[in-house]
Amino acid sequence: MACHKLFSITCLAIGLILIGFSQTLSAAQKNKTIKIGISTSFPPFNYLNENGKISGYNADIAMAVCRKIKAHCEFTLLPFPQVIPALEANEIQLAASNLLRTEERAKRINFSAKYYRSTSSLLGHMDNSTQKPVEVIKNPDTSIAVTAGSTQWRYLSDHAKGEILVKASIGETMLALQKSQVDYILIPTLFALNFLERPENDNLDFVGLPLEEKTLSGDVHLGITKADPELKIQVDQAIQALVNSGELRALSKKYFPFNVY
Amino acid sequence: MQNLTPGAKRPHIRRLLQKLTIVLVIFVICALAIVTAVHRYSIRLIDTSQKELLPAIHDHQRAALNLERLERMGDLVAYGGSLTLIRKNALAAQVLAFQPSFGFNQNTQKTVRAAFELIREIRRTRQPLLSSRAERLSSIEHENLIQLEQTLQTRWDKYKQELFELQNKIISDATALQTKNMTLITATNNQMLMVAACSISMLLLVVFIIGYNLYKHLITPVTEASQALTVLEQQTEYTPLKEARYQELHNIRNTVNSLNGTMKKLHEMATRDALTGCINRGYFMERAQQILTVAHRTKSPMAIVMLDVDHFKRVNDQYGHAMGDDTLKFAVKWISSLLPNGSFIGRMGGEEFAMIFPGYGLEDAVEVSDKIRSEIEQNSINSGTIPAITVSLGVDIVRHATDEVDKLLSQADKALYQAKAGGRNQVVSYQPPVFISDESQ
Repeated sequence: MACHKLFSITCLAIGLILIGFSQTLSAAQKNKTIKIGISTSFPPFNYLNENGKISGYNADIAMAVCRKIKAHCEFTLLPFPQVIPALEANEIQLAASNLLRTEERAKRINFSAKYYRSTSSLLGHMDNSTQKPVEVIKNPDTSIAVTAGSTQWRYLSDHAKGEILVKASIGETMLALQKSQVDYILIPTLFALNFLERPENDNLDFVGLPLEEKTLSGDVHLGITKADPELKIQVDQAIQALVNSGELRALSKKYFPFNVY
Repeated sequence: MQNLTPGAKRPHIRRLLQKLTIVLVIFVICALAIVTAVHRYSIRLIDTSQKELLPAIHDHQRAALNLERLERMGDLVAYGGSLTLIRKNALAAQVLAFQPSFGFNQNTQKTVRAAFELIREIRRTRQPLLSSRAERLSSIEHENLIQLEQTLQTRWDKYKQELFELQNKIISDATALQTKNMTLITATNNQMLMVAACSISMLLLVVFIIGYNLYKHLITPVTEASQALTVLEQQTEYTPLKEARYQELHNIRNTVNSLNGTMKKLHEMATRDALTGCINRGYFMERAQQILTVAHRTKSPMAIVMLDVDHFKRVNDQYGHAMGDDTLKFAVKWISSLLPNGSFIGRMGGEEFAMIFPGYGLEDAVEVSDKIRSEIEQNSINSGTIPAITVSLGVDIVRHATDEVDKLLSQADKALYQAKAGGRNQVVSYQPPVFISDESQ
């Protein structure tokens, strides 16, 4: 009898401690601080506006997700090649850097649900716009600029016969093309659209059609650190909520001439 | 308490209850399993609808809206007045036409890309016309380009109809998906209803089976035993109880059945005269009272007769008591064979007997009595085993509603006394005293 009593008291005590612990845990989660890795590459995805503040579709999506999961978020500006290593090291927890999913990346970081879809395009001088990108890449007499660590860079390393110039950001590849330092650049098509629409670039154009290559197009995800598996679930739910409420559509409208989701 | 069928080992009631409990438990488990299965299926369906169908429907809706954007871009490329506008929209059209979001359907992708090809052709035709180089073109070249521009614009206008139809198809596809979703959900709902209906029917069946078993093996034997006990108590016709399936009820059945035998034996012992086999005085009085009550109620006649063996003491003295006993036995035997239906004889003591003839008037009763008297006289002479004897009988009948057994017996006894006094071996009926005052009235 006494044994029973002791047992139930112990159970009760453990239960109370567990309840208290879980409440502390959930309280801690509510005030979670998330560092968002983002690079200052180019409009319309991520760029510094005239006030020096990070802006663009990526920045807005990341902030909207933060609001949904009621986390305190701050941006950490990083060059694109450092984004995935920073996620791995849990120096940043979230990255809004136009990440396409690859097997190799999936081993290092978690991916959120998609937040837009894209393709990759080759850009060059207007006179070359009727050429076929696959043939351009195979031509040993060409030079192509690409962002380090990107899927486009991975693709070119495997397929390009000509010279590859590796840059730290999409913005730098664009600059190289503007200055005619390279013949072509291979970048995400939605970046290219904004770039080509600028009046100063009317001598440039898409080279052929977007590349029909699985690794270069498709769903784009937020990167999430593997250190916090719970965060992936929260972010996915947040993105779904943004889609359902139409907020994501509004953000797409703000930066693009059509719905990019 | 002995088991009537030894060797046949019977299960206990506990076993019956165990069996019924098992039936109930199996049913509940089955019902729960089915309900769980259907529930899981419906959850999976909801999940599929949430994760696949709903996003697919939304994809269709977005594609339909983007198609409209593409149409507007095409319009601006085909009819726009400035180079910048044409370039901007042609670029956007290229990006949009190759967006993976049109990839859900081969046909959609093909139509959209074909639309872009046309837009690109229009752009390439119109750009030289609007650019600064236009002035350098020869008039024929200019004329050709204008003509081509018009042809392409007409083609674009026609193609827009195709895009419109595609948009319609996408919307109707989305509706079809939604309908499919709804149909699935409705079907699951119907399945759930079916399962619920089946479960309830099965529950009713199980309850019926349990009820039937309890009724057959428990309630029926108990009811029958209770009825048998009532029968035993009322001493009416007893039918032995049927065999019961379960040990405890079988014990009750055996006990009640053997109780019937014991009761019968006890009754015999309490009501029979051991020597002659006819009923004894006590039981005779009881039955006489019953018959008299009926007679009073139905206002039907009834006769009562006293009988005494003449000079019986002499038989005992001359032939011994054993012969006396035999004489009485024979006498009762002969009398019994002559008794009319419903009549009975009781030994009142020694060589004195009494009889009741229900439904008999005085005349009939005297006739039967005389037959008895002559028969005994004849039979005893002819028998050879017992000495010749005679009997005297006194007859009385019910006359008033207030007549009682004792009074009737004593009046019959008075008549018997007169028969004895009159020389024995005769039947005398009781003559009620005549009241003179009655006559004078």
